[in-house]
Amino acid sequence: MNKSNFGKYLLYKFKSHIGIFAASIVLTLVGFVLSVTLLFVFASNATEYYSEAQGLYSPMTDWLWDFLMAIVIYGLLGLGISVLGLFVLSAITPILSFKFYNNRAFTDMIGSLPLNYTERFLGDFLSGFAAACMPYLVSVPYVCIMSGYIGSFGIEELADLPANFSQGALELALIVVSTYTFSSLMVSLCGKISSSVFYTLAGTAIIPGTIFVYALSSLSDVVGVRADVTALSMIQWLPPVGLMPDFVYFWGEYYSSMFRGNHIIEAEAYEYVIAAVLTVAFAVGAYFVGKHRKTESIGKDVVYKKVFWVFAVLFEAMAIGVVFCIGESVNFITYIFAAILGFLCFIIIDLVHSKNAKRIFKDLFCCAAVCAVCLVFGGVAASTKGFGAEDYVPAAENVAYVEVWGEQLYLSEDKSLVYDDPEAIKGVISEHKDLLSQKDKLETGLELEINYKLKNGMSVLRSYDVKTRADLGIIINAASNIRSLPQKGEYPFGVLSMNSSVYSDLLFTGTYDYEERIDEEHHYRISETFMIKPEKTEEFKELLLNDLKHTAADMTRHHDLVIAYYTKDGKRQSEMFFIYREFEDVYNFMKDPENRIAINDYDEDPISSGNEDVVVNYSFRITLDNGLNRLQLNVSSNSDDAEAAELISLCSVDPTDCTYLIAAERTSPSYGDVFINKKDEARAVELILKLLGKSIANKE
Amino acid sequence: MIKLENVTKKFDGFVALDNVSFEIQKGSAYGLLGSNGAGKSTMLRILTGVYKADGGTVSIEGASIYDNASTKQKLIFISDETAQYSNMTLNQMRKFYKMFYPNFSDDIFSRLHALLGLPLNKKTSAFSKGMKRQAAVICAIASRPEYLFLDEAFDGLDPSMRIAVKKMMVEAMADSEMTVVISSHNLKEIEEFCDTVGMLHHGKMIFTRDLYELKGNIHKIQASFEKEPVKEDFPELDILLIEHNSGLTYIIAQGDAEKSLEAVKAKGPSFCDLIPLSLEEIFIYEMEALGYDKNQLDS
Repeated sequence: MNKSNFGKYLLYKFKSHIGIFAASIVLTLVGFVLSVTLLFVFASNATEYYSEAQGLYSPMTDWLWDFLMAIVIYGLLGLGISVLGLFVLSAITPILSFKFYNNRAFTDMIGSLPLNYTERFLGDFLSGFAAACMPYLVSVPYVCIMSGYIGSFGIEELADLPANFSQGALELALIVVSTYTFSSLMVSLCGKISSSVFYTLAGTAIIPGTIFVYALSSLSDVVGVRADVTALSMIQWLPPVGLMPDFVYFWGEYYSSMFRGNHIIEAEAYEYVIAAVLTVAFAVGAYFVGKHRKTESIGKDVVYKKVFWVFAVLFEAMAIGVVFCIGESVNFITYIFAAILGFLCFIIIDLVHSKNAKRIFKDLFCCAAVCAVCLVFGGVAASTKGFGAEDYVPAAENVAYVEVWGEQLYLSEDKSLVYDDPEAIKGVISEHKDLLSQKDKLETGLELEINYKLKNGMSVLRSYDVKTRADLGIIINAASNIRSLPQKGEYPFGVLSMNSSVYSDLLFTGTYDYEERIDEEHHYRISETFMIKPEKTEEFKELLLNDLKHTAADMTRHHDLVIAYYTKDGKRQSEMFFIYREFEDVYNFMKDPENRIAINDYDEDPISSGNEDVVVNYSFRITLDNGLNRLQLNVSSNSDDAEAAELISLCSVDPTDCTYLIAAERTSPSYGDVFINKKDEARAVELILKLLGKSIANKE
Repeated sequence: MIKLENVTKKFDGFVALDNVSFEIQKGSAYGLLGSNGAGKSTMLRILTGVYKADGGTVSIEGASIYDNASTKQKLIFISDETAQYSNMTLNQMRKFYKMFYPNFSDDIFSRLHALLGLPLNKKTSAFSKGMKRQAAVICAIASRPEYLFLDEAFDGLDPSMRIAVKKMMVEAMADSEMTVVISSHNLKEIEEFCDTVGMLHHGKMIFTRDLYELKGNIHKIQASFEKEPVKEDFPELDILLIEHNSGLTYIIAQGDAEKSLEAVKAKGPSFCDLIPLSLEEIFIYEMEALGYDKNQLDS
């Protein structure tokens, strides 16, 4: 390689992309880096409050709320624009960079320069890559450091940021790079700018699109198969479009409840590996296509006629598949519409390509053959219920482990029961087969979800519901039997078998009565949070387990029960259970004041600083309100602090003639507002100031 | 020396160049003639390594051209397109050529630029076609390549600029023994500038000859006979064509002009004279002699 000329050419080409480079930097800095930084800085509070806004009271003032929401909206909008912009830049830059392939004037100029093919290709490829992709790629380590190692910076507010941020950033990097390499390949296969744009856009969509619509249509009527999830999982290895649902999931999971519990969309590691290999393969393909294409192919739609045929066939097939998807079932009418649309699509693309109506007649045989294959595929898929997917249960020896999730397991949305013991796996399979023996009563749903992770890295996911609620017992029985199997490691029910030293920190946030506790002023739902007395937790556990084991099909789910607890290493965890009205023992227990620690006896965040013994801290958000101004102070103190205890003793739930409002931090609405009577005002102020002073001194 | 042996190029079955062989001597000015679609541009693109020949061999000084950076370092190709420079100023074009061609002479560039008076810092997209071509030629000559290939070099140039550009190239050839290959369908341009010409027609190289030799070897005699003679009446002459028009006989013959004139006079014409031939006529007669129909050539 003539290094000096290559370097010069690279520089010349990069300079010609300076506009793209600038756009990429702006998108990266303003759209991505700034957005992510703001989300990082404000993410914890904003997202927490965002979640609470959907159902729980938040004590934030309006301006803070608006500010945080503005940050979140800007962040998400900035992210969206940068993602879209980077995707478009990555797609169009090769079209401009490889002008040699689609602009005759440049062909003559560049083709006669003192460069060999490899130098020219690398110059074109790398200059475009550097301009379109590098600014973003450089920012990825920043995001990874922020999300992965932020704790080492000692910034407490950022300590619990999700690792998903870095995974999402890396995934976007893969999307951006694969878009660029795929576009490079398609540009190498085309001889005109217009066809380069068309085939790049079509290529990114049509291959995963065709797979998706056929997977979706083949599995949509199959009991137990979530066709959408399965179809998505079948294209997750196909970059760049296949990676996008996973990417959206990553970011959306953190900000929207609609994504929570859909962890099933998350791509497997091997799918990333395949996507990365394909990304490289696109670039290598672009190199070899460019090496072997004839320079004079410029001006043609496609350099190789076979490329057109692949796209024409896929277009026709996808059109037919779309009709299958839209049609509720594959029948004669669906067939007719599918065939007509397939023919039309083929004819249109053939006409656009060949610009010769007579030629179409010559190609109709191919069109008809493709149509026939697609129709037969659709028919076979329908008649065999997704090629046997409905009745398929993997053999136990092929299963590495199995995850079970479902409403009938009384788990939180993002937790599953996991079984890796061979006997337990056999047990799950047995229950699964029993379910299938009554499949006429079942349909696809989320009452019980079984996800087999096979030893070959693949997954088999089945989700069931009953057609009528009267048959819910089928699923409840299966869930109950599965629940009794030995599970892997810690699982949510472990909450109820923790040792006594941790029990004393068990908190219950119950919404068991929230319909009656609508705050008219704030229009927030009010839940109630209380702490169970340590000596009562064992009793509560037995009551809850007993009720859970006696669920019945006709029970009406009524409330969510969140159990917050502290693990031995001091981490705060929470799990959600579904509590039915029929759980009378649990309700009665929770309503009995004797079982609770009084409000002035505990703090909601008792062991945030330790993990051996319970150290109860007092922590308040104190709002001073004189009718004109509001001042908010955060005060925390040790449990043995007499002044804090005294201040709490002054608290009253009666707002009459009160000027001060004290609310425990974070969960204040759950306690209900607590007031200080005017007669205790002077002492309360004194105590507050002392506590505040101590708190500041402690922090220092 | 540039050497082509049995070069063939096809475009989707259409034969653009058919088994073409010829040589171009170093330091010569070679004119590639042919009507539109004859294959001139294709030939130049093969000679400059833009296209790869489907068959045969092409070499410059014994080395292949296609995908050979060291050979391409010796040549510059100015095609009939000028769009590639649209986003550049003349100054940027200068930098571009200077970057890839180490022999680039700023002195020559300045001198040529001063001669033509083109704006240096104005985008060439604002230039006329002729100005763009001048700009490209300036840069190419200033790059001092060993081989300069120009496709329709004088298109878009007004007469004064044509003279100026030709002068520039002649000087460059004299200075550095640069070989120039020019394609054109304008015989007059080629006649004025080139010393060797080749004629392409429908992808075939009809002939390639030294222009002076060509001119000296073919001549036209105008005579008046009582009885119109036929070709067989002059067995000693290599007659390409004999025509009769308005009582006059026109004889196009190859060989020594004086001897031909003597031979005609020996047949006792009432009038006999040697008429100078234009290059265009020489080509037409030469090609007719090779069996090409005049009307076919015109097409």
